[in-house]
Amino acid sequence: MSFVEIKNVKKHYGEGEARAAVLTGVDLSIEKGELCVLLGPSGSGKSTLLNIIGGIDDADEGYVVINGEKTADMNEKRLTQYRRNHLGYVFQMYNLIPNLTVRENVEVGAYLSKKPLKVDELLKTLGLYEHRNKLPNQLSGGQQQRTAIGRAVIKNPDILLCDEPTGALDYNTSKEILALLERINREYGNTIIMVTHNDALKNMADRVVKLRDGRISRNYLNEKRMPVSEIEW
Amino acid sequence: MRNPMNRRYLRELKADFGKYLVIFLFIIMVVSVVSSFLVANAGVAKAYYGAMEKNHVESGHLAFNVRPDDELLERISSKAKITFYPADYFEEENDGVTMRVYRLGSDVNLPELMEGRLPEAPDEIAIDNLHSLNAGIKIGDRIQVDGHLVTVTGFVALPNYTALFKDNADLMFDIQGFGVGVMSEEGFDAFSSEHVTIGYAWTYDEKPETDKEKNDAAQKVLEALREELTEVNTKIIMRAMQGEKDLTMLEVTDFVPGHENKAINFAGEDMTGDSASISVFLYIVVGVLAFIVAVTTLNTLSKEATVIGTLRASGYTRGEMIRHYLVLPFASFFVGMAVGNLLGYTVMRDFMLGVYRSMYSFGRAETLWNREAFLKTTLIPSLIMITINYVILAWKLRIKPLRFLRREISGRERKRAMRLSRKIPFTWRFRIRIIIQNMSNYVMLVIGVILAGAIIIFGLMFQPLLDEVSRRIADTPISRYQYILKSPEDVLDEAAEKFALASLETTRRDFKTDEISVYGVSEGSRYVKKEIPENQALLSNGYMEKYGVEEGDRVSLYDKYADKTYEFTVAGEYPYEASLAVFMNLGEFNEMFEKTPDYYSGYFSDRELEGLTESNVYVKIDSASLGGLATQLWESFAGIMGPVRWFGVIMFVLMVYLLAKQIIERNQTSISMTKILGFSNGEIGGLYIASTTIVVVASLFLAIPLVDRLLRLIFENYLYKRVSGFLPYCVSNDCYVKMVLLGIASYAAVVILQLLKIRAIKKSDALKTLE
Repeated sequence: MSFVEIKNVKKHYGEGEARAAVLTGVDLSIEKGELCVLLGPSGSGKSTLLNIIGGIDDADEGYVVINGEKTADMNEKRLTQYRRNHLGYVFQMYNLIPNLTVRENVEVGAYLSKKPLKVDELLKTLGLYEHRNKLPNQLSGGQQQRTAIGRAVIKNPDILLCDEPTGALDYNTSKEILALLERINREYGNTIIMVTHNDALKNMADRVVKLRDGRISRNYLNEKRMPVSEIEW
Repeated sequence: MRNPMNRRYLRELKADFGKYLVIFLFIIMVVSVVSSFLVANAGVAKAYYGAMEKNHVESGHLAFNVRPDDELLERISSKAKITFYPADYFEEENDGVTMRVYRLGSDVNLPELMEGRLPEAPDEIAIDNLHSLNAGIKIGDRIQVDGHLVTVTGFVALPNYTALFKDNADLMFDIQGFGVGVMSEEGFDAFSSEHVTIGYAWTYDEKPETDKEKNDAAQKVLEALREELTEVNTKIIMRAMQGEKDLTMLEVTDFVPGHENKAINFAGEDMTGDSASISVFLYIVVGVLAFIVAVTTLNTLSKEATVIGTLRASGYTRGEMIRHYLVLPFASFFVGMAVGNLLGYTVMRDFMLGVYRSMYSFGRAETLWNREAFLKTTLIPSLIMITINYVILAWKLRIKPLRFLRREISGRERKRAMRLSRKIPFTWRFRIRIIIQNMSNYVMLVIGVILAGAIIIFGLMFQPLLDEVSRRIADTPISRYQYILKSPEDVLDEAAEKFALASLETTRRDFKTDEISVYGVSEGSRYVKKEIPENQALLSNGYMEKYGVEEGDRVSLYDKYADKTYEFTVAGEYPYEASLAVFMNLGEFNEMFEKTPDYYSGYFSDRELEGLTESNVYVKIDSASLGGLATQLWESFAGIMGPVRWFGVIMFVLMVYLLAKQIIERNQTSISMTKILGFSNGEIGGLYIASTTIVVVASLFLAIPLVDRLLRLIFENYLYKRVSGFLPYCVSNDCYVKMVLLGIASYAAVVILQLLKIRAIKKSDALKTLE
């Protein structure tokens, strides 16, 4: 069994005439340590799929098994513990705590983990060490997103879920963030599942999953990952 | 590892200092008032009952016209199983103030020294501490007694004069016109003239417990007294018949058993009155505060929705989030509670003691650790605060992290915007939208304004109410004078009309017992101007209203001394405001109470009656004595009602400030955006502050009928049941006008703060990424 197993996951929103299918039966397997990119246009269901994997949304049908544990069988409390112990989240908006410093925001993640990484080391890796005592509103967008990544990664999670992590950033900063994710995946061995609508990013992934109208239209492994620095869009 | 989120607390406190300060001040204010009341009440009650025991309060007292033989007293003592103590006194009147002076040295009614020292020299006196306070007498002052100047050496509290009733027949105590004092034996004997009253106090050898036992014991004393007096006076008559000259018959000029002595009991009955009402008030205020705190916390959740969503998605538990958001409001609440209790046990307690001391004379009251006060002012309010906030927050945080991330937390986001007619001008539509958006804040604001309004009205209503009561009492006398006699005595005056009177008690268990005066009215009465049907009775309007009695109902009244219950069929209402009363035909009265057919116990009269033996008149009621009741009642209330009114105003300001502040903060980005668009601070105030102003002013007007209804409910379902006597519910229109004006004036202060807050919002706020 793969590290992440997704079986016939279906999801719809709304009721009656307004009912809209978002996922119409998704089957997917992701191996431990893989960097998986979920690609697709807006409304293709990629964020919904990511949220179901992360246990913050429910599937109407089907299930997700992570490292042998079926998330649908977990109650809310167990699911929270599961997220606490195994998952890290990065969103398009950074959602940092405005009155905590960079270091403290990262520590918010460390607090959740029994085996956190060393904060200062990670801050250096993230290039945030000199900004560690600044508040989020004193940082650029890229620095804020790096802090958000730091908050997710410090837990040393088994899976890092990233929802359009560069959606609010310019080209150069986006490349910087993607390179960081690539490095984290390589250095810490976390499985990374990243949602993006940027087709060019398929080259940085081990596994590329393309979604269209709630279904997987393509699912393949790259023979060789292209370094982010070489990707242009 | 310590939760790094904890580091937010201090920063959060600094950033939102106003909010936490309001919670803090609010709770200090309420808790200090309530705890001081409960602590002072308990301290005073303990001092009062302690003094009764410690200072050997009498079980009763009597007075004679001449000094009786010791053997006579011994015989009465042995028959009635009592011990007599000398209790002579003389009275001195100066500028309308009567000073009653006792001799030191008795074993009962020991004075408790409050300040200074007891008198030693013949020209020294110690006076009652309450009277000294009112008359402005200081230690060392020289006051006139019996034509001589004496020096005041100290202030005392006498257990038999905790309430300064000059006469037991007086309806109300008289702190202005009456005082008591003590002099040394030498001083008393040197100063007292022939108008000394020969008095004795007694104590029962075996202390009676119940009312019936007390009454029986007093009856026994009275019977023994009658027997011995008859015997002594028979002997005197015999001696006179034998030609002996200058003999005086021995008469009792005063007889007051302790359990009937208002000077002893009145204060106790008043101060041990139910403290439940003030506790209920505390719980209501804390309940409202708890909801306000919950609303402000929900606003914070709304502001930080995406952060919460991220943290929950990262694995922070619901419990951790609840605790995190409750720490600061709870900390300000609990610290406020501690400070409130501290003030309640110190400064405020002294204020409350001052209120008691302005009415009653009692010994030293200690600050007691009061478990009941702690429970009522700390534990129960804490439970209310914790429960309401925990439940609301837990309910809100049940929402899945995804909905927090999408800011879908109020449940209204998915609905369509309410359609507003384009005929409504843009600015009004804007204001309506603000009101809709902040509905929960505004709902709390309306509730808060109504509650604060009720407190303001409560603080304002009593003066006009008591004026109204005085007017009604004056408008509905039975006759200008009522003479209640100790025993029937004929009088030759056309104006006099006989009546009989009995005092019974109500039996309704859900009400505090009321004394009901049952009048037996002569047939064809000139004074009770309504026919009383056979075998039925009329009830005074207050009785009907207080107990919700209707024509045709039957009411039961109890005679506690005879242990008998009587039933009356209600024929209708009779307008009489001075007391709760029942009017029945005299013949039926005498039959019901097993009196002789010609029995009566007093006279109604429109003019003063000459020729009645003064000592046989138990009480003479005239308009002055009835009017005095209301005046005295108001004087007792006035001390506490002023602070109540301002308490309401402060509560109003704090609440409106807190909620109005929330609305501005919640809309910070929008306000910033409107600034970018070119709106001036004044125009923005016209949108955001005007919305709050509309709600505040509308709430003040809405509060008028609601407060009226609320207070009526409190009167009918609470005060009427817990307080003896009847105070009709009526609120003068002036009170409502004052409430609205006070509300608007205090809101003006809040508006200034809101304007400053709007001015402080920067244009760049809207452009910044808030995260």
